[in-house]
Amino acid sequence: MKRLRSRAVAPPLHAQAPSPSDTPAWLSGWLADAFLLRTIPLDHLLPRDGLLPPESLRTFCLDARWLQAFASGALSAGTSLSAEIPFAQAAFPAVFAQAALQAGLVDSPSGGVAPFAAVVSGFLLRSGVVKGWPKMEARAFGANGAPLARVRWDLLADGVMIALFIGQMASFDLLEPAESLHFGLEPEPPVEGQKLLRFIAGPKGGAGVPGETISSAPTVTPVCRGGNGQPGNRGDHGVLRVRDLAGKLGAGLAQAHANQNLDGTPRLFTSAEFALQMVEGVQVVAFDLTAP
Amino acid sequence: MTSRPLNTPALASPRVLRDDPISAKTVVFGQFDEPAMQSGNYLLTLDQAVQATLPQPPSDDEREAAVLPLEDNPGPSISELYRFQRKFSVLGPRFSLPAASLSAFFPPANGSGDYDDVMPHASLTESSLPWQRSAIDGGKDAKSTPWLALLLFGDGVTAPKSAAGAIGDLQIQGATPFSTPNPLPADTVSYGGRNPFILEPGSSPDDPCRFIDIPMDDFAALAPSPSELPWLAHTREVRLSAALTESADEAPGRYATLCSNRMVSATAGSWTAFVVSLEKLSAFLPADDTYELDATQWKGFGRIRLAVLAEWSFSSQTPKETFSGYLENLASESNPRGLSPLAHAAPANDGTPAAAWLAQAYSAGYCLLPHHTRLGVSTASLLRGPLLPYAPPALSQKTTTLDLSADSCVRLDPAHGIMDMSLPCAWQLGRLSALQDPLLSSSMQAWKRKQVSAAQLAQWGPTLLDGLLPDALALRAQLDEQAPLEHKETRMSARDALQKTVPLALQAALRALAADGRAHGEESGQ
Repeated sequence: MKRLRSRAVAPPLHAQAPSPSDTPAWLSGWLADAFLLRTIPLDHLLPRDGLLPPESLRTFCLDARWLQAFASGALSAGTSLSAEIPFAQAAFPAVFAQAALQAGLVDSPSGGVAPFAAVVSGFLLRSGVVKGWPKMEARAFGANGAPLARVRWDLLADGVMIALFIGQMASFDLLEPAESLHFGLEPEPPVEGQKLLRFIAGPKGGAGVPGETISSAPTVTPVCRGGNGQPGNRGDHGVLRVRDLAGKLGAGLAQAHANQNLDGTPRLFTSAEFALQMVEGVQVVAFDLTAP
Repeated sequence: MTSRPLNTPALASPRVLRDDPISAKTVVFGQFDEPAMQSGNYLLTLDQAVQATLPQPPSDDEREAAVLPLEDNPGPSISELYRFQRKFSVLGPRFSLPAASLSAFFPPANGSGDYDDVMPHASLTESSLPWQRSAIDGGKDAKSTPWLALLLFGDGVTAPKSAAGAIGDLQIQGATPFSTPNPLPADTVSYGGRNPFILEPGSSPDDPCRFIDIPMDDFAALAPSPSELPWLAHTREVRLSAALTESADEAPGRYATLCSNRMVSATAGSWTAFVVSLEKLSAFLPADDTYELDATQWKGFGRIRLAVLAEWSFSSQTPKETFSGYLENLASESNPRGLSPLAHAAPANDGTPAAAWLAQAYSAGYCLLPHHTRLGVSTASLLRGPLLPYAPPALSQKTTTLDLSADSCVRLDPAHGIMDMSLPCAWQLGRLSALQDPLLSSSMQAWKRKQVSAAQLAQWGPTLLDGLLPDALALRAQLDEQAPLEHKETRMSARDALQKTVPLALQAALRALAADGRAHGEESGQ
């Protein structure tokens, strides 16, 4: 009996700090969704009206401390014994790091448990452009011009898009979706209503990137049925003399040595090359955040 | 019958704007995607010609003599032709398209925007579809000439209204025994010209289709010439970089693209585009270069009826409603709240220190909101969400610790006595979100209990096995030997001692241990 009593006092529990990989996938996955703000209600992201008025764009950085409090609250659920608290405390850094890793916010568990070493930045866009071009693309660049990894680009609410990038954005671009890749004439002066020739192929080592316009080559002016051949003249109904245009484009490319096989012999000019010449690229709108 | 190899596709990445690993998407254009066989009825003929000369059967005399050489004695010759014929058909879309065949339109259906000088196009999911038939009836160009064309109406050329009808409506009158709701008028030409076209197996004059009647002059103005058709269709192969494949909205694959020969004008207005079939109608198309209709072919006709395989409308708008128009408006002077970091507009600064302090808080993303504390006091506290208008310092490993409760992370500005409730709100939101997910909360409870039990067992196990358990078992055995009733109190106190010293979480583990623990205990006791 004596011996029994002498051992009656439980020694304090010192749970071993688990490594991030010990975190169950269901937990880190759930937290990762929250870290990417997927499961955070909109009224918590924007606690008050007026933060994102119509036709506005707001840049932000993610508050890792806020996510830490969120994760702490989440981990508090289902605690029924006081002994579980030290365990949760010990496990927390690993859980946090693993969730950040799963969310793509860190590249690798560097030393295990230092999440959010990099800033996570992004923007919210509320505009009619979201409804009109829901498949537009976004990309961001850091201060040194290096592209930032995009971890989220989603419709957040009706007419609101959210973008999250690893690192501090210095500039970002919004691009028309690739489906908007369309055919037409140059829209901007001084070559409005004309076509700049695009490089197609040539011998190895030759100048020219496929698809890029050849600045040195003369432009081609399409002629419409009933038109006088001047740039911008639409003739009767703006119907192009397609065969005539294809002939001119083919001749222009041949002259610019921009449509050749690897051995320098001329390539065929077919509807594929014609399509490439007639493509008008998608519009890109660049935002520079460092500009004064 | 042999399929010509596809022409070398023109390789291009038309969006090389910057070297971009995130949205690298390559488009490869191809001249055409020729089907192994064009759609239509085929007659397969196999001829076997047999020619032979049989030897003359020898007469009885010769047989007896057996001297006549065979070659000098030719018999009757055979020349016969064995013909084997099979009819078969290659089926394909003809007067209507399944909805899944259409991938995309540009400009988008019902879209509005600045489409000045744009040539509309339609993408088809089946990359060989435009070449499955031909606008030319036979000849060397038939294989490379598509049968589909995109006709664009609007701005001076009134769009005909497409009507729902049946294939029989495209047939000259009297060619089908059925009466159709919209019989082809005598002055309207359609497929087959002056002769009825042949129905393919599996199709009937009753099959639904949509068609439009185009006046001759409009058709002459808009329709491409036969030699222009090949320029207006190509294939497009979309390849995605690895980074994009997961969230790609446009699936990689091969598409066929039909392009219009007409450009949208800057005039605001409504436009309608039709994908029409021109199957074997090359004789009725405008001539190459002159774009005039063949008067002989068109004699007696004033209109043409074409099957509509797809149609969509869009409208030209002012430049503001364009992609760049919208985005440039964000940074324009007329929209002062367009582009900024995510922060509230600070309340009016009246020059007091409190207002200056508040303005600073607002610039850090906070806003001041009414706060009813747990004690029933009404006050005002600062709040902000997870999105900050500035880059916060990185969390270090040391500070990444569990917040034990919502209240533990209240931040207080002692100088002004104002609380920052952002973190407690986040904590509560985390807890409520976890509880809202029944699977997560129950899994978490089980996970924590399991982990704690394991940790406790690791710690208590040696103690139990070395001392506590043998002691308890010895006591139990000792008590069992004695009369149970007399020692009830002693027995109770032993159980109490067990319960007090062994945490609740170990009850199950201990019970499990007790089964084989006796043996274990005996071993330890030795």
